[in-house]
Amino acid sequence: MPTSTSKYQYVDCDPDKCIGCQLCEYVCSYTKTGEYNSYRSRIRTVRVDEVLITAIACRTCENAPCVRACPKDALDQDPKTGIIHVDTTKCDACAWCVEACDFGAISMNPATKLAEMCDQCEELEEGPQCVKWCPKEALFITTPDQRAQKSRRELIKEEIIGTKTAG
Amino acid sequence: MKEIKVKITGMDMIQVKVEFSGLSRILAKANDMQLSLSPDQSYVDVIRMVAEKYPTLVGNVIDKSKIALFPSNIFSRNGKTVVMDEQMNDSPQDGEVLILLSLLAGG
Amino acid sequence: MYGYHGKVLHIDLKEKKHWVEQKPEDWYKKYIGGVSMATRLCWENIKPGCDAYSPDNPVCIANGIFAGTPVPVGGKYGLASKSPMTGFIGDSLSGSWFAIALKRAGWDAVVIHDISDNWVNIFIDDDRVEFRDATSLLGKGTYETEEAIRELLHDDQVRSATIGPSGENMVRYANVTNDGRQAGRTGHGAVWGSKKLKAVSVRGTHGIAVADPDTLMKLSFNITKEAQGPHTSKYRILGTSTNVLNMNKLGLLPTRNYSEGVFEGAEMVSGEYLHEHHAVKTIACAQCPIACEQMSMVKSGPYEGAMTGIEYECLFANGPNLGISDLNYVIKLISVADHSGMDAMSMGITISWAMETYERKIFTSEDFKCNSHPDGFPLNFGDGESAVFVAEMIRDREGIGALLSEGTRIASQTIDKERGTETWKWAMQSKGLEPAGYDARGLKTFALGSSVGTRGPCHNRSAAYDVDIQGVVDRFKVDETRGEHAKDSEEYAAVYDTLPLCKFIRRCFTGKADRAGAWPTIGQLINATTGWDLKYEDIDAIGSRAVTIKKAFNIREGWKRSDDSLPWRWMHDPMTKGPSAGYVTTEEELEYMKDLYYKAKGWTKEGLIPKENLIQLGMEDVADQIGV
Repeated sequence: MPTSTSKYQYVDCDPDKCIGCQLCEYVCSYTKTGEYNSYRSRIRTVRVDEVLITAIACRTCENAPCVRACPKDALDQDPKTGIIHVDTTKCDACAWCVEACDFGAISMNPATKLAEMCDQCEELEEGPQCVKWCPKEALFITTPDQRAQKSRRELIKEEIIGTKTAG
Repeated sequence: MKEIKVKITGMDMIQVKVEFSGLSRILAKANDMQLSLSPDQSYVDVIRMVAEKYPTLVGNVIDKSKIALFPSNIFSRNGKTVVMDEQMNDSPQDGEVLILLSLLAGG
Repeated sequence: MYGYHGKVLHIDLKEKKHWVEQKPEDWYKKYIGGVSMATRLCWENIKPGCDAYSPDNPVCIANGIFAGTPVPVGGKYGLASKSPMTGFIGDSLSGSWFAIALKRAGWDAVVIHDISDNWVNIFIDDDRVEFRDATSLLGKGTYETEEAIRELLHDDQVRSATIGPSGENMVRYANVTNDGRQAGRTGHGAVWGSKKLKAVSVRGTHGIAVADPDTLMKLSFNITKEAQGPHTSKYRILGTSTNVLNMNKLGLLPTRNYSEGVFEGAEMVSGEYLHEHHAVKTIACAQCPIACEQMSMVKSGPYEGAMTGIEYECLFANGPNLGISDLNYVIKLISVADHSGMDAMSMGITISWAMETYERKIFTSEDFKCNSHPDGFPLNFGDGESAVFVAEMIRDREGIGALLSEGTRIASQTIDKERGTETWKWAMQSKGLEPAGYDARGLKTFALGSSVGTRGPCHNRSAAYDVDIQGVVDRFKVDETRGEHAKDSEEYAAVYDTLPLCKFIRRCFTGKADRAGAWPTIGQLINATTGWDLKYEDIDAIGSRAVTIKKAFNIREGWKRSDDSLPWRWMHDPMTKGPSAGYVTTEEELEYMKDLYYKAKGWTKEGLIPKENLIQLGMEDVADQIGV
C-alpha cells in the first residue's frame, strides 16, 4: 500500500484537536471557487461515531499512485514540492485517480469534469488557507519526518512528564 | 508609630473566604482561598491578592489589570448579593464568603 | 438576492406532491430566519384552532441567514409548529449540518403539510423531492436513523432531521434530532410522529455566494480567532454544565422536583466532576469555532458505553432534580432521551413529579408494573436505576409510561381527576411546558420572564435571569423596572434566535455583550451577506418582530392573560435551605409585573396587541386579524 513516506510537505490534521467544524472546507472551496461548498473543497472532514474526527487532504505520496493510474497521463507531480497538477486539456473525469488514492483525497467536479486535489494554495503567499483558519490549530503543514518528531515530543510529554497538550 | 501599628494588625483583621468553581477552580487547581484583610482594604485588594496567589486566573477570570474581574465574572456575597462595579472600593464584612462565578447561559 | 434563494419549498405528505412559493425580498428583511421566519410560516399555513396532531398543523423549517458561510456559529435553523404541549407556538432551534445542506440545496424554508398515509422519509435532493418509504427505519434511534439513511443513499453528505422511537410513539415531549443536536422542546417529535414523518433528509450540492465576501471573510476570521480566547473559555473547557455549582452556590439548583435549591450531592454531578471522570471529547456543531459540546461517557458498570453530549439543562433535570448524585445514571438517562428522541428536560421533570407523587404515597410500587417488573417497583428520589426504567417505559409508552409521556400538566390532571388528589400543585409547568434549571423563586425578573414566555417558561427565550443573577436588580424583590428588563432581555435573545446565531459568541464581537457591543458587528455580517444596509434600529426591530409574531400566533390560538402564569410551587411553596430560601412570587407580585411587561411592550392590559404596533413592525396582515 502506498504511504506518504516522501520528503514532500502536505497538510495534516490532528484528530485530537479537530472538532469537526468544517470551516476548513468552507474556506478552501471559497479560495478555489468564490463560493462556500464542501463538495468543492480539496480538504474533507470525516466524522465517525461523533467523536472520531479528522480532515484529509492530498498527502503528496512519493511516486504518487494517482499519477501512475491516470490513463490519459493528465496528472503530473511537481518534483520539487510533490504537489499534483491536473492538465485540464487531458483529464476526462474517468476517476481512476480517485480509485487509486487510498486517502480519498481526490474529488471530481461535475461542472468542470475535472479531478481536484489539494495544492496547498501554492499560488498564495500566505499558503494553505485551511491552516490559517483552523480555530483549534488542528491543521498544520508538515513533512513525514517533522510529523514523526512531533509525535515523539508529545509522547515524551505524556508518558514521562504526564501532561497532555490542551485541546 | 509602634502603637498605631499594633492597633491595625491582629484583632481588627477581616477574614474573607473566596470560593472557586468552574473555570476558576480548574485554573487555580484549588476550591477556595482564605484571606485576611485590614479594615481599609477593599474588594479590589481581594482581587489583587487572588491574582497574586493564582496568576493563571489573570486574563480569564480576573482582568489583566488585576484590579477588576474579567467580563461576565462576578463576586456573589454569600450567594445572595453581587458586588457591583461601584462597590468594588468598599470593604468586605468579616466572615464574608465571596463566590467567584463565571456566568453563562444554560444549554 | 444574496443570503437567500427567494424560495420556500412546500410539501404535501398526503398527496405526495410539492410546490415552490416565491417570497419577496421584503419578507426576508422582516423575518430573517430562525424562530421568527418559522413562526411566520406557521402563522401563514396553519388552520387556526386546529389540534396539534391534526393534518392542519404544519411543520415549518426556516433556515439561518448565515448557514453555509464561514460566519461563526451561524449554522442553525428554526423549527415551528403548534405545540401539542402548550397549544401555542412551539418554536425551537437546532444547529449543525442540516441547516447548511438545506442552504446548499437551494431552499430558505420548508413547510410540510398534512399527514402521510405511510411512514415516510422525505428526501430533498437539491431541487428534487422524494417520498421514501421509511418502514425499514422504524424503531431506530435518532443517530441510528441518520446513519441508516446515509447508507441507503450511499452518501455521507446527506443530512437528516429525524425522530426516534419516542417520536414514533408520540411521546408528547418527543423531539427532532439532527447531527447529534436537538430541536428539543415543545414536542416537535410528537407532531412529526402524528404525520408519520420519520425523517427529513437533505443533500445540497450548490455553492453559496455572498454579497461582500471580502468583508465577510475578514469579520468571520476575526471572530473565529476571538472565539479561542477568554470570552469562551468556560464553554470550551467545561461546557454549560459549569452551571451546576454556580446555581448550587446561589441556592437556585432545582433539587428533588424543585422542592429546594441546594443539592447535597452537587459536587458529584458538577461540570467539574463530569469533565474529570467522564469526558471523551469536546466537539463542535458545523460552522462553530468554539466547540462546547462535552461528549461524556459512562465508563464502567451496567450502563458502560452510554455516551452523549451533556448540557446543563439536561443534567439538572435528571440529576439534582431527581435527587441523583451519580453521574453514571444521569448520563444514562440523558442518553436514553437523546437516542430515543425526547426532550431530556421535560422527561426529567415529569419523572421528578412522579417521584414526589410516589413519596407522598399517592403512587405505589404497583403503579409501576411493566414487563420487566410484573409487581412494579418503588420510585424514590435518588433511585437512579428506577429512574432509568421509568425513562424507558416513557419511551415505549409501557404501563404508567403512557401517562408520564404526556408531560406533567396532563399527567397530574389525569391523576387528580381519577384519585381526587392535588398532584397539580407539584407539577412544574406553565402553559403545559416544564421550566428550566433556574429556580425562579430566587429570581423575580426571571419569574416574570418565565410567566410571559410565548413558548412557555424558557430561559433561552427570556434571558431575564441575567439582570437577577448579575445583581443589576435585587433578585428577591419586585420593583417597577422589571417589565422593561424582561422585555429587553427577551428581544435581545430573539435577535440571536432569529438569525440564528448561537448566543455563546456574543462577547466575541467587541468584548461587550450588550446591544451596543453586538449589534454593529451583527449588522455588518448581515449586510456583507445580503448586500442590505441594515442599521442599529433595524436589528432591534428584528428582535421585537420575532417576539411579536409569536405573541400574535398565540393570541389567534386563544391565548389570554391568565395563561401567563407560574407553577404553583413557585407561588406558594418557598425553599427552606440555602441563600434563596424563603421567597415566592405572590399572585399580587405576578400580576403587577405582568402589567409592567405589557405596558413596556405597548400592549393592552389584557396583553393584546394594538394595531399600530403591528403596522409599525410591517405586519399589516397580522394587525387585520388580531390587532386591537
